[in-house]
Amino acid sequence: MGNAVADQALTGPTNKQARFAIADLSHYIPESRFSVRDGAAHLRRQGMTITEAQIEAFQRDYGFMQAPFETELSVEEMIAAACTPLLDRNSLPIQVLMFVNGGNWGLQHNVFKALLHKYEQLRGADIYSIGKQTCASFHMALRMATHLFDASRDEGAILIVAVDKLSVNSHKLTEFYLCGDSASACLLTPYGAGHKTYEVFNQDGYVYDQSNAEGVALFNTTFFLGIRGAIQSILKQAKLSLDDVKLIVGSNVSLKAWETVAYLLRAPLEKFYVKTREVGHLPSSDIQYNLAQAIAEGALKQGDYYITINVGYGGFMGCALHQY
Amino acid sequence: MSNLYLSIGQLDVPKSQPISCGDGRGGDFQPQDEFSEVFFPTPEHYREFRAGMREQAAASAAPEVPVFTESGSQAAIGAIQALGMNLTKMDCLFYCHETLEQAYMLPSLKIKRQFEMNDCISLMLSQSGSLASLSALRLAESAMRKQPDKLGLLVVADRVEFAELRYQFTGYLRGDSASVMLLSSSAGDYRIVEARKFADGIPLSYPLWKEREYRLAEKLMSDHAQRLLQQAWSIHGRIDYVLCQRLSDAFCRAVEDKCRQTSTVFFVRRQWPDVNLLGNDPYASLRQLEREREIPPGSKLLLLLAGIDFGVGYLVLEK
Repeated sequence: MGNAVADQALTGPTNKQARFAIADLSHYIPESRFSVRDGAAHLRRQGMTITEAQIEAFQRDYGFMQAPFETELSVEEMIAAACTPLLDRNSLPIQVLMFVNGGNWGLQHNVFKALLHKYEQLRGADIYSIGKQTCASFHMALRMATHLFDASRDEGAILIVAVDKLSVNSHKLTEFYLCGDSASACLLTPYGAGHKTYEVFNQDGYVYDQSNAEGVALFNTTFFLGIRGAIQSILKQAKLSLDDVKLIVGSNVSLKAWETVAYLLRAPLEKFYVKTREVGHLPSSDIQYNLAQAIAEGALKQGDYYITINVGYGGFMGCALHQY
Repeated sequence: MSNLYLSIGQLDVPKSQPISCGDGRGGDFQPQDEFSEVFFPTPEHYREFRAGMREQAAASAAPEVPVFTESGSQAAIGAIQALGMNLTKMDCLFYCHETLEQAYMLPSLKIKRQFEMNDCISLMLSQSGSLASLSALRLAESAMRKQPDKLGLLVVADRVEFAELRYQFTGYLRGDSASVMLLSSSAGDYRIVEARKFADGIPLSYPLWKEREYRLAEKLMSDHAQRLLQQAWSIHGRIDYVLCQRLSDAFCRAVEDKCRQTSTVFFVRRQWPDVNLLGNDPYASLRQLEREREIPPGSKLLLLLAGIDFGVGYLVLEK
């Protein structure tokens, strides 16, 4: 991908009207790694009892092995590392910068100042922070982008920036997932080359605080049903069948959950593309990272339809249909 | 933005209380203290910040600011309940906040569930200083524009959870408030003429600031505010009132000086004039203006919002 072509209309082979195009992606993944055993050691120091059998089951069944964690860079520097390659190769004016921060609860200062001062295409950009759809916030950003582009296609591109830096160790390993640090950038344009996005689906969750232990337990044990429901909804919206879709690029959650989803949808497991083993769960950047890897590995070819799907803590779902 | 209307349904500013640094937190860095670990890069930064805050507290002669006893989200729910409206037909809910709650909480989802707003898009907006409502209004306009009779709820709620964070160097003390504003694509007290934001800040990261950096940022925001006001006058002609974010004394004086160049009235609210009510600040001034004066139809009001680390923006309303 590279610079978008300004005048290309957004219709695919089946004459579906696309909402916008994903013109470019870039990301930053720290080099250091935090393993499941590192997480277990930390939790044992906090007084929790975790057996070797539990660690092995966690790794075997859920697929989590390790996740990146940042030791040197500040949040601002991580964002710059992710955005710089994309902004260096794309000079389109940016009307809105959407900041996705599903996993950071402590950030309350401006993390974009360095970028605003360096890149002319960002001067005048409006900055929104789309949070609290938890790990499904990326798809809420896509949903908001559809509204903004519907309102006007002449005001410039939209840049979605995500970052996770889990400064508190207890947030890294939980009973159900291992989280990692990362940053990503995704450029959306109203016209032009790149992946066309046709449909976006969002579903609000049902757990809004930690005191709802029942809701949390329900989510952790049934979220795969929500994934199935979201995929079926997006296909129905698009009037496509699962056979029309080449790949489902999903959140890096439990591999067992994806096996169950594949079984429920009667789809081959190979249709699901996740990187749970390699990087763990990147709360705000799973999709952006996984999609870039899918492209790099040749898993998608020109014209292929694919679905992206995020599941967010507490029952949030985000799903979209695209065409490469 | 010509077909979106705003009405302030409810605006709650709690009782003022004296604040102090004596919140039980020791002056020394505590390694397990998640507050300082998250907000300050090193223990030395945290100690310096508290030392500066104590000096300011000593100089302030028992400052009082509005303080909620409950969380920001609970205060917002209280404000919505006070409105007494059936919200089940709302199309959009925007929850804006500058401050954080200590406990994990998703206020927009809690509000949706509690008030059975089952069919509405809900979004939480933050990370914009006091300017989040401007983002919400732009998103509301894009989401509500196509059909008439669309309804939205804009909730702005802030409660400063840590006493230290009520101080912002030489800026006005930060107080709590919660508001519920109704958005409509067909009617309301004010037509939204324009919402504009300009994002900027001094290069140094905010957790590393000392008073010198605050002064630099204050000057930068004052310059932006004056420039945006000039832009607004060029675009809209007559502006009858400017209601300015009570960010700091120097910032407000810069805006007032600019207003003197025209016939625009620089309105200063009588209640909490030296308190920054964060995301609700200019809306609180609007509420007071409505109570003190008759605002004739056709009047244009400019609400100037500012975040010391985030930028400046304005909202032009027409009565």
